[in-house]
Amino acid sequence: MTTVKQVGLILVALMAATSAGCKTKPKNITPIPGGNASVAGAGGLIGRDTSGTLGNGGDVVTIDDSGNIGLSGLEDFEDMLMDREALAAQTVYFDLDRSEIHPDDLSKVEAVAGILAQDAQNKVLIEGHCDERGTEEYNRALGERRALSVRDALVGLGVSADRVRTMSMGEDRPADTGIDDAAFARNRRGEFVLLKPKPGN
Amino acid sequence: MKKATLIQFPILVGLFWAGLALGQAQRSIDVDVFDAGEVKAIPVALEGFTGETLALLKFDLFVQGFEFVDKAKAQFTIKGSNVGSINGAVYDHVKRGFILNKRYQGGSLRRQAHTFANNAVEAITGSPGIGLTKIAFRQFHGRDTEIHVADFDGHNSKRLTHDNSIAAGPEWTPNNDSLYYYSYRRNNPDIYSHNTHTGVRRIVARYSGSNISPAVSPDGRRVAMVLSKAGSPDIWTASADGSGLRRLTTTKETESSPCWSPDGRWICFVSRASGRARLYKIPANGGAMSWIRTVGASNVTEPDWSPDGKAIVFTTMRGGGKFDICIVPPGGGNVEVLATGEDPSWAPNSRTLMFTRRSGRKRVLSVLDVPTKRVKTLPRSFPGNCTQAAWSK
Repeated sequence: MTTVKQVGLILVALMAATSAGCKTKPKNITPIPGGNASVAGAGGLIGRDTSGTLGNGGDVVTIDDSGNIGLSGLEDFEDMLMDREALAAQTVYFDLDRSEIHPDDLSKVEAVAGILAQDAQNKVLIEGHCDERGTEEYNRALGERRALSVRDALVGLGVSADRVRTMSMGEDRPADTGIDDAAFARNRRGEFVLLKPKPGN
Repeated sequence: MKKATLIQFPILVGLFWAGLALGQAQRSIDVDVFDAGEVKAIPVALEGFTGETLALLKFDLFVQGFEFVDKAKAQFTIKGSNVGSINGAVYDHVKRGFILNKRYQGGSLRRQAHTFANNAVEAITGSPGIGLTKIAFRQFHGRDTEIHVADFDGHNSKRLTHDNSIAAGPEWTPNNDSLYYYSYRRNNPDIYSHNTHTGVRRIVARYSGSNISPAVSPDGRRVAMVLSKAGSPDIWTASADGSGLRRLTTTKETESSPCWSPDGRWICFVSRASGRARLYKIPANGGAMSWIRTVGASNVTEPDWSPDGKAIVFTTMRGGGKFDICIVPPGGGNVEVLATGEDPSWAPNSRTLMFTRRSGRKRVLSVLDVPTKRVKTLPRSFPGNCTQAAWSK
């Protein structure tokens, strides 16, 4: 799985660059083998989704010029058992309208990476959730951004990107139905669901 | 001479663009939504109608800029009867004559009454009425939400989906035959097109991550949507059937809520690329995204471009779960707050909006007449919360 390590290293480099406060511009990004170097304008158009494909015939992971790591196909996650209990203690929480992982929660992400390292057959679903103080479609997108932040962190810890699935529930599945700040804080979260192969598969 | 002229209604001068030529003005009462504050409702007297028909006419006319006064103060008297079928006429007190007089038959009494309301609106203002339009919306059934379709006043509601999951984000195709929406029925938010006549439903986008917020182009041939398959929620387009995917935005930050300009050349959406949620537009065929300045509103979502192309309405998130409906010219500029609420959708008249109001835990659909800034809750109430109304084209 050298592919995975390469992706992980590149991601760590990107995350370091971003967190150091230097805005990553396409030109500053380390060229990725097979990458599409031409980008029209900042935040502009990529003609086709062909930029930055890493891989050698096996697992293909696509990274674009903004450092986004493409998701692998849904079929990779179908027919798996969903274990909501195994990782229930690792739920991470977000600040209002933010999608960055709280430093205090990094140990939880590490714990999830450790559990995934124990069995290469297992995968993980990250559910992103919001409190009800945004509009519905905004929250749907924000929940996905939160789940993807957690995914990026897992990948940065060496978890293969194609073992991580994300799903935003927006504000539709609150953990706490209260309407005070404490309830809202409990609802701005990323939950981990362990995905296991069905016996016999 | 059915149409009202500027000279005949000096009281309505405030309705017009200051620079609008008189010749244009005489064509019809062209209400400019940016003159909101200045605009007064057209005073009419209602005579002869009773019960359900009276309530229907009052709602239809109210949300299209009319108010109800004594005959002595009225510019028009709208009179008739609803015994068995609708007879209706409009008397113009300035011209001292009838400008409409019709009998209606066939269909339901409600449909006759909506048709008469349309005829009355057009006779007085020169603009087609919205009485026969429909809405699609998201209705809560406990934890789950389903797509429903109803007349624009909430009557004749029918449940379209039975997915027992989260279905949301309905949008009409231009011919109003089909809805696009997303549903979690297969354990992922996937985009579907759903013919409301035949019941045939097709997958448009089902990729890993989010497949949400579909918006059909004005020519019906393309769909804009939010996909996160590339690792970030971005704006994508595809053919109406989902083929020919094209990624328009490539930011690391979140994009959401695409809508089309009526000429089909632009897609307006929300991006946090700057760190705050702002409005942007991008050429529908790809290109650079450009910021639409919303002076006075800093945290914005859910744009909807008016069918006449003159305005974009959107939601401002003021914090603490408080939302305002705002309006801005498509080129950007000063924002005007229209009402408290969220997720506005234009009626085809480019004048009336459907939106969601929160009251405690309740979320209800409401209608806003933009020029007069008057709000009415839908006359028909629903057992569950209702949100995300999409007005038919």
